[in-house]
Amino acid sequence: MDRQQEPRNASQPAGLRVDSMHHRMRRWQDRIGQAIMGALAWSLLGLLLAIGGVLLLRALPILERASVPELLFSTTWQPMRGLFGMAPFIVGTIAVTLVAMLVAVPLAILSGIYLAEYMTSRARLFFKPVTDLLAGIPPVVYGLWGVLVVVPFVRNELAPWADRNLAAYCSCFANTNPSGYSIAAAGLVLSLMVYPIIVTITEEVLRAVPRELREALFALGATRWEVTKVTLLRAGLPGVVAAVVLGFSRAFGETLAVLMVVGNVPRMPGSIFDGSYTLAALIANNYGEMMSVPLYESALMGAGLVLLLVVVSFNLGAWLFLTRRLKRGGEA
Amino acid sequence: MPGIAIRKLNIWYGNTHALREINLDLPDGQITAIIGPSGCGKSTLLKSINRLLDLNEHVRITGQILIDGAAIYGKQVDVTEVRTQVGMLAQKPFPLPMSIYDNVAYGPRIHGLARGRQLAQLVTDSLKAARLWDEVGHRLKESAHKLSVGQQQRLCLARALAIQPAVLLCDESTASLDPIAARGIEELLSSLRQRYTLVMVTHDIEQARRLADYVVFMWLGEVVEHGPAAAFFQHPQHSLSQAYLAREIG
Repeated sequence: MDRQQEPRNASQPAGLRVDSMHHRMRRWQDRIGQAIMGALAWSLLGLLLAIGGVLLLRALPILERASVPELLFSTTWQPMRGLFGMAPFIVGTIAVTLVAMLVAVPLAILSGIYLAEYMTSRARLFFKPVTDLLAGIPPVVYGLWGVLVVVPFVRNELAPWADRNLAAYCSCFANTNPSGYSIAAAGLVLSLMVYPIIVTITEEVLRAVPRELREALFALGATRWEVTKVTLLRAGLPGVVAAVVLGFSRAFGETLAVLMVVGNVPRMPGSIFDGSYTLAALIANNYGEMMSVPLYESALMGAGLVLLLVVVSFNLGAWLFLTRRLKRGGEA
Repeated sequence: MPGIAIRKLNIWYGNTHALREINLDLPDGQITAIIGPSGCGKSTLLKSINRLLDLNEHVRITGQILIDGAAIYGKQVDVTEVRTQVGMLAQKPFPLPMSIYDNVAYGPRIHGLARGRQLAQLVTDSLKAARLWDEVGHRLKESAHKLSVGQQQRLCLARALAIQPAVLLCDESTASLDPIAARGIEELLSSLRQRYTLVMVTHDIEQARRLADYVVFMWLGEVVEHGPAAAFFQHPQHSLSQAYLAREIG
């Protein structure tokens, strides 16, 4: 339409001309603002690519020496001999995260339900800041508390109990380690750390459910628990998935608290009471320490790359699940 | 069929005295219309009949409501039991996030009213009573959100009828619908009058004139006048009623 502008402008009275100085200024303001904000927003994507790119670049030397399956599945980590099998760390990370999520997710969702559905608004006023505070406590404090409380609990109570009652069914509960520094201890500490995150998100999801939907359910004679089942499992599912993904990402990458209680043993674990080692702890403990060993830095970068890829793919998977669900019908 | 007796009902929202000393006897098997300007307490009165106000923790209620002679407020009373006797149709249709069939089957399922073939029959009957069966009978598995707004409102009616209530509350249930869909709901409600004790809130005087057998006129949290619809519309007694019907106030 701009093509016709010139003749029309020429015939227009001066007072109605739209391309006045003032108008041009406003238009430029808008364009420049949009450009700056757009660049900043898009640079987030650039940041992700930059982090991945640098890790990949620095991991290339080890990838040239050893194949990817060898790195991922070999169980021998002996840098001095040039053997960089990451399987113990990968398994350790997955095991610790799994224990944390299995403990935290169900309990945290139940707590979130209580907070949103059953608690009076006055009690909630007190309770909300407490959960926020718990989420804000530095990991090192959780780690210390883990050393002082959780590790002895696992050593003296949990591991012997599991050995007596559960080990007969699965050797993964055998009490193999007299120290208490173990996958179980790390998982429990982590579960405490992701707990408030999942509680908060669950609560927010439930409270975001339209009042009318809740009223409709109550008017049909549903109990609070029945109302919650519908709102959480159907209307609130995307939010719950988001909560779990966020908790998972947090747990998977958590470094300090885990390395304080997991024992840092680079061996394939056979029981949840074995000492283990996680990818993040591996990097944090060793980067800058043993750099004289050839390829060591590159191997650590590879470990970082694995961490990044797992978290990215987990988030991507959750995102795909949610968008597909949204497309399938407006139920989410 | 039960009548509804409201005795000395007072309701406060926090410090606001929303309903003052309500005493009413609503006739069974008829349509009662609660009318009055916005904010007069119509919806509050309606939602006190199925105890939906209980959901708001800042609400304080004194007095009693009796349905078929049985008190619905009191420590021994099971709220969910009250709500199985009193169905509700809200202002805006809000289908449950599930299939058309499950929307109607939900209530009977949680109350254990029917199962299997019996439940299917109950769903069918309810959808027919809500005059929705012909439109959705062949696609019961689809999401209820795919229906038009008018269809959704009829689905909500079917959902309420499926728990086999004795009383049906309607909270401006045609207000968010287009005129044709609204007319459909109106005719439906009219057809239900023999089988249910119907209580509807409306700000639409003409709608009340078309549907109501009994009228309750409210003003600022109090019942100003109530009585059979014909008498109320022809010879309103109170000066406020006269002014409201003449559209001078409200």
